[in-house]
Amino acid sequence: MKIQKTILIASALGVFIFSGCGDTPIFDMLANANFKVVLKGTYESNAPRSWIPYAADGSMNDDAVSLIPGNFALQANSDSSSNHYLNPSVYNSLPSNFYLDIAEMTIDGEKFAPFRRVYRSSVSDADPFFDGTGFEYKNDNVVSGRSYDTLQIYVRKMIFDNAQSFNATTGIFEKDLQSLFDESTINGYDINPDQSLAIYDTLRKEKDTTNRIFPLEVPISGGLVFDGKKDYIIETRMVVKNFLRRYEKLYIVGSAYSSHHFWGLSDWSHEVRANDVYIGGNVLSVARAYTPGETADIIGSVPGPDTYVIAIPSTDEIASYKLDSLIVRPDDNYYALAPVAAGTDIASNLEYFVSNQKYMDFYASYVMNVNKADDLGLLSYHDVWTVHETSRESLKIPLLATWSTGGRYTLTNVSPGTYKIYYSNLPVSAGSLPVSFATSSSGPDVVVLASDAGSTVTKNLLP
Amino acid sequence: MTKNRQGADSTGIDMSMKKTIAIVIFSFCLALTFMHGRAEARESDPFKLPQVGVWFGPITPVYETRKEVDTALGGGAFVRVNLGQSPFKLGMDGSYQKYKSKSLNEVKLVPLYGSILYRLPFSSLLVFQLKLGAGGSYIKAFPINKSQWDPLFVGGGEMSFPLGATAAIGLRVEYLMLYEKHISGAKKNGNFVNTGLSINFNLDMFD
Repeated sequence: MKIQKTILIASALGVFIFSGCGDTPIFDMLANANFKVVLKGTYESNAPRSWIPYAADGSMNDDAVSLIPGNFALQANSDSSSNHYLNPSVYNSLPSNFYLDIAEMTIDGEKFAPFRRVYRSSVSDADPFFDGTGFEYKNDNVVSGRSYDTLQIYVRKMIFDNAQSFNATTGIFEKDLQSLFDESTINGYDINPDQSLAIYDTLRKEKDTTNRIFPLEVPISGGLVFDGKKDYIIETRMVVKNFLRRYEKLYIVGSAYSSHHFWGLSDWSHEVRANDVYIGGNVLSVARAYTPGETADIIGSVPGPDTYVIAIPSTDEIASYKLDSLIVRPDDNYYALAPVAAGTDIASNLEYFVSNQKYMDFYASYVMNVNKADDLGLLSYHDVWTVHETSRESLKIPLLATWSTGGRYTLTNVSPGTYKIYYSNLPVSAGSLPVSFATSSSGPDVVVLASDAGSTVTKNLLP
Repeated sequence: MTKNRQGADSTGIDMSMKKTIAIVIFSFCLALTFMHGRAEARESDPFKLPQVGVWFGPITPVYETRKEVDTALGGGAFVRVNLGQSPFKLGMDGSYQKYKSKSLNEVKLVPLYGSILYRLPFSSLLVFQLKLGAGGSYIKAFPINKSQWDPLFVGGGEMSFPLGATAAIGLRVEYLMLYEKHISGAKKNGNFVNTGLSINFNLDMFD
C-alpha cells in the first residue's frame, strides 16, 4: 500500500506538472536572437558617396612614401620585358579587395557573438559593405533589461591588396606582398599589426596593455537599452570607403632592406610620417541601435550639390564631430630608426658605433620624459602628446550621415528623438572627412516622434 | 519576420490536448498501481525488488538545440517498482541539468517524469531495459530570462549489471524532448540526450 500511495502521488504530481505548461517558445527565442549586428564600411549610414577614383597626381600616397616614391617606383620598373615589371595601371589604382577577419564581438564585455567571421569585399560601389547595406554578423542574444554603451570588435586581420615590395636601395620591384587570410595565401598586406600609435603607444608605461584593435572599441551612439521584446539592429560603421592612403614601411631582414608599399586607412586623424613603424589610431567607428518598423526618414533640401548631411544627438555639440585642426601631431626630433651599419668595413662600423651611442643617449632622455607629467623643456613629450591624443580620442563619428547630390538628402532609419542636423558642402578629398559644418538658418533641431514611424519628417537646410 | 516575444495564449485545442494526455497518463498509472506481485516471487529475482538509484554523466543537446548550447555534465535520481511478475517496471525520474555555451546562452532543466520500463526477455548476466516516459521539465533560459514548465517525452534504454542482491550498476541512454511546438508560433522543440553511469539499490519492502 505504501508503494501504491507513492505511485499515486507521483502520478498526480506528473499530471499537475503537465497541465501547467508555459506558453513561451523558449527554444525559438534562443535560436532567433532579436538583436542583429550589421557592419558597414562607410562614414555614411545610408546613400554613401561613390568611391573617389585614384588620383594620378599621387595625392593618395601618404607623405610617408618617401624612400621609394611612387613615380620613382614606376620609372625603375617600366620595362615590360623585365622580370620586375610594375604595371602602372595596377600600381596607379585603388586596391581591388578589402579583407576583414573578425574573431568575435562582445558588448560591454559580454560574449554575445563568439563567432569568427571572415569577409571579402570588393572595393566597388556595388559591394554591400560599401553601398550602405552592410552585412550581418552572426550573434546570439544579449541580456534583457540591460543597457549597453560599447561594442568591442576583435579584429584579427584587415588586408588590402595592391601591395608591393621594392628593393629599398635600387627601387627594383621584388614581388607582390602576400598575407594569410582564412587559411589561404592571398595578395595583400595586413595592416592589423600596425594599429598602434607611432612613438606614443610604444613609449608609454602602459604599452603592454594598450591594444587599439583587439578589441576595437566602438561607442554605441545614444546607447542601447535592450528590453528583450522588440527587434533591434545595431548598425556598426567603420570608416573605410574614401578613407584610404598608400603607405610605405621599411622592412629589414638581415642585410636586406625592402620598401613595402601598401594601402591602409587614412592618417587624417593620427598623422603618419616617414619612417613611422605604426599607422594606428585611424580606425574610426561608431554604432547606433534602432528598431525596424519604429523609425522614420528625415528628408529635405540642401543648399547645393555634393553635400554631407549629418545628424547628431541633440545633447551633443558639433565640436565633438570636427577634427581640431589646430592640434596637430607634435613636432619632434625623435629618431624613429636606430642607425645601422652601412657596410662591414672598419669605417662603416665606427660610424655605426658613434651614431648608435648618440641614438641611445637621445632615446634614454626621451623615454625619461614620456610618462612624466607637467613636462617642460625642449624634450617635452608627455603634455603635448597627451593634448593631441585627448583631442583625437574625443572625435566622434555622427550616428547618422548621408551624401547628398542633386540638392536633396534623406537620412533613413531614424529612431524617435531630437536631433541636430548639420551639413558640409566644402570639398572633401579622398582620405579626409568633413571638417566644417553649417546649420540651417532655421536652427539645427529636428524632432522625430514615435507617431512618425514609417513616414518622413522634413527638415530643409536653408543657408 | 514575425517574432513571438510576449508569449502566446494557449488555444482551446491545446488545452484539450493537454487534458487528454494528462488523463491518459493518470489512468495508466492508476491501473498499474493495483498490480503488484507477491513478496515471495520477488525474492527469487532481486531485480524485481523496488529500486532507488542515482545516475551521472554527459548531457548533450542534439539536433537544432545543439546550435544554442553545449554539452555538459548532469545527474539525477530515480525510483522504480516492478509490476508484479511482469517484465515491466514503473519509474519516476528527476534530474538537474545546466547547459552553457560560448555565448551568453544558458539553459537549466529540471526534468521530472514517470516512465515504464520493459526488461528484454533474454537471459544473461546483464539486464537490458527499454524505457518510455512522459512528464514535465522546468526550463530556465538565459539571457532571455524566461522560465516555465514544458511537456516532456522520454525514450531510451538501460543496461544493468547486478552486484549481488542489493545493488546494480548500469549504463543508461535516453532522449528527452521538451515539447514546445504546441505553443502558437513555436517551430522548435528542445532535444537532449542524457547518458550516464547509474547505481541503484534494491529495497526489500516486503518482509
